[in-house]
Amino acid sequence: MGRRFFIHMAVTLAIGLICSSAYYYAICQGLRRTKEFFPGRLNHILYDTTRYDAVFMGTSRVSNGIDPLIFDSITHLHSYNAGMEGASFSAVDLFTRRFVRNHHPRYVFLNIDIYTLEKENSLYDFPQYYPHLGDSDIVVLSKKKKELSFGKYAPFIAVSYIDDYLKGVALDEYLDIYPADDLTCSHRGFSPVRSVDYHGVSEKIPLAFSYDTANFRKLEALCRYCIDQHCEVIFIMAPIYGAFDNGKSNAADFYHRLKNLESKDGVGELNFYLDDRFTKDMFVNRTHLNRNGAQQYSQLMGDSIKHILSHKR
Amino acid sequence: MLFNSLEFLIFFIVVTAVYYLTPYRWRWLTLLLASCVFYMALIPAYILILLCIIVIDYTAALYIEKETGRKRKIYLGLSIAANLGVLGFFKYYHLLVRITDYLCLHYHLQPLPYLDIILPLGLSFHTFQSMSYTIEVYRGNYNAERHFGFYALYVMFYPQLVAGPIERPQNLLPQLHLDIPFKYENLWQGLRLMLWGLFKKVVIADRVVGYVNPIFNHPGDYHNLQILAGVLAFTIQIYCDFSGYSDIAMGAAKCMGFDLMINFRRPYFAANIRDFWTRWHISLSTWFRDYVYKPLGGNRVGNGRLYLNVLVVFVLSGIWHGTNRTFMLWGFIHACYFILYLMLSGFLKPFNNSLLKIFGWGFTFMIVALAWIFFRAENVGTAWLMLSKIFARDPNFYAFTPLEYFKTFSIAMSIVLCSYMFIVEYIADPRLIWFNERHKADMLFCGFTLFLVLSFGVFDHQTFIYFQF
Repeated sequence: MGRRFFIHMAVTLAIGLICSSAYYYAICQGLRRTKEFFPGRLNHILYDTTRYDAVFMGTSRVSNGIDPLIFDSITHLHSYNAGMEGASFSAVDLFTRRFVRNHHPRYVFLNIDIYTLEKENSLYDFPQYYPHLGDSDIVVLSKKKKELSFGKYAPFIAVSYIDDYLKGVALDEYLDIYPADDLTCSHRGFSPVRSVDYHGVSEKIPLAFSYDTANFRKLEALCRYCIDQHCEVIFIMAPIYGAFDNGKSNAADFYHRLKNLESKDGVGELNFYLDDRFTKDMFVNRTHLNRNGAQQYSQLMGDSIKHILSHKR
Repeated sequence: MLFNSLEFLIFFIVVTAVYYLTPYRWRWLTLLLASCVFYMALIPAYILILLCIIVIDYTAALYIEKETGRKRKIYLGLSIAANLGVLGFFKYYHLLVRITDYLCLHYHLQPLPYLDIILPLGLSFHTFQSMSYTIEVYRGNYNAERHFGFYALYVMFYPQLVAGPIERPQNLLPQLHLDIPFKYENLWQGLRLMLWGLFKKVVIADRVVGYVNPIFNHPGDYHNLQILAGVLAFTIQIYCDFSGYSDIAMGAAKCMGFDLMINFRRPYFAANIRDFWTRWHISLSTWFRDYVYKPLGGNRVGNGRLYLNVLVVFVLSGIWHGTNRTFMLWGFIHACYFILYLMLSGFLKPFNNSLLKIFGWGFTFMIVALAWIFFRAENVGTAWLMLSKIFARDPNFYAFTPLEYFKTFSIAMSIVLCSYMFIVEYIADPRLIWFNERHKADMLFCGFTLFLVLSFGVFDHQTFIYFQF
């Protein structure tokens, strides 16, 4: 019976591990090819070489808030929304450099807000990066999340981290059965929030401003890189519903350094933070705009940029 | 320590290995220490409550056996009172406070103080198991256990400590005394059962919970078909969650050579409500049958008394789950089903054919599913709202809300995986013994199930539903 037990064990493990590894590779292949949803945006940033005039970089506050089609209709530019949900500044830094290298935009609109530069090392929704573990930049990110390395060394474990959402997207790529609509990322990266109701404060949102000086140095280096690549950097500060500063923050120091950076490197600034044109009915929570808010934000952004560009001309 | 966690996997491997490496005379101690560690992983202090119950029942059983006449009854009464007292204090104290608050308001009395009580894990299970021991000793069906360690292990045996099966002394205690040699077939059968339990928990129960929670939390936002789908999803969830736990418990015990009692026998294939209750949570339903229903007279009484007995048993079964009125109503609804079945079964006997059986299966499944609304709903109002929405005329009846693609994928996967589960259970239940002599099918089944667990499992460490009882 001992021999039979070990044969049973070996065959069971072989079937289970081989099948789940094969399934993992199939999902990764589908995700690498998709143009839809946020895996599609990631593919676009990493591998596509379409030329754009402008790019919006940042977190979900960018991807949810700025519609490039509205912005382009006002400014007559060709722009892309490359905001990545939950991106830490390390990820924003990496994706901005990659986008600039691949797409050569003239303008980089970099979203800077109260928690962009906080000390954050974890990687949000890391399974979306599994298909790209062959990419040297993603390997840098993977060092921040040990589970991401399973994708290389233990794909049968990695597959357990990939949720139904990503599996569905991968299958969609194979079967091509889901038509893109205005809620996908197919509109140049824009992915609006479905809901229009205000859901209150998200527990994940910090109530105090805090920034990490090491990240600020990274920001300075990023600005210099963009300028070297002949890009104009413009900081944007997205609208927020209600103030955040609880008095214990280092916000004043941050704004001081930011102003210095702007004046030193000639970086522009568009500040919509606490802009009273954004009312509660335009938010889904304190930091994220709903579809109506995104429309308003894109229009105001377009008007401001149009104004700046006309002055330059 | 959850069965669906990495900590448990390590714990299980270490305990099983140490168990077999320990000489026979110390194995009970190994298992007892492991069970203590398992129990103390959540709130260590609560082990003292368990120890109290063990000491009381151990002593009571010795005296019951030694004494004769009325004294035996007194010792049994003391044992039951102690068990129910502990259970009542931790589980029903808040209900008592609510009742006394109401009375104090009207009669200007001093209300009972509110206490911040957390229910000890699995209290309802091990108090019932402990009571079954003293009752069996009282009835003369089992001799009192002399060895305190073995008795403590009977109550605390870690695989079934927190959510059953509620064992009987006749089944488990003699096994604990045996010198069980290591057998590869026990290990294989145990691991296979554990894998199957894990599949039911992480692949099905924890997957469908994503549809269940939003619908039960905000039923007003959904139309009748969606609510019905949510109810069916909960029907699947509770079965897979609880029977998944039982399978892992039975599997873990089997690896060490112990056979725990079967807790589920394909309950959703029941042809009628009576049949359902011989298949669902068997260890609890037989407990109530043996220690409540039969002492009340069972079915050897007139119809009126019989119906009353059924009502008492089911309402008590509902109360066993908790103080919320929804549990009582759930028990009451099942009592009504059962009584109606008893009334009508005589008329249905002449039509006992396969078509009626298929109809009976579908009908039983639906009425059981509807009763689960009361089990899961936050309160009676929510349950009624859901029921009324299911049966109300809804203008959106044919207008399916367009689903996001990933949800469609998820729903499709859930249906496929549930079908796989029902087919396997139909063929191989109980304990998957069908595979014992079919080696190729066995390897294929285990390999494929492992693939499903790894590829479609939801590993967010959702707790088991029955841990709250």
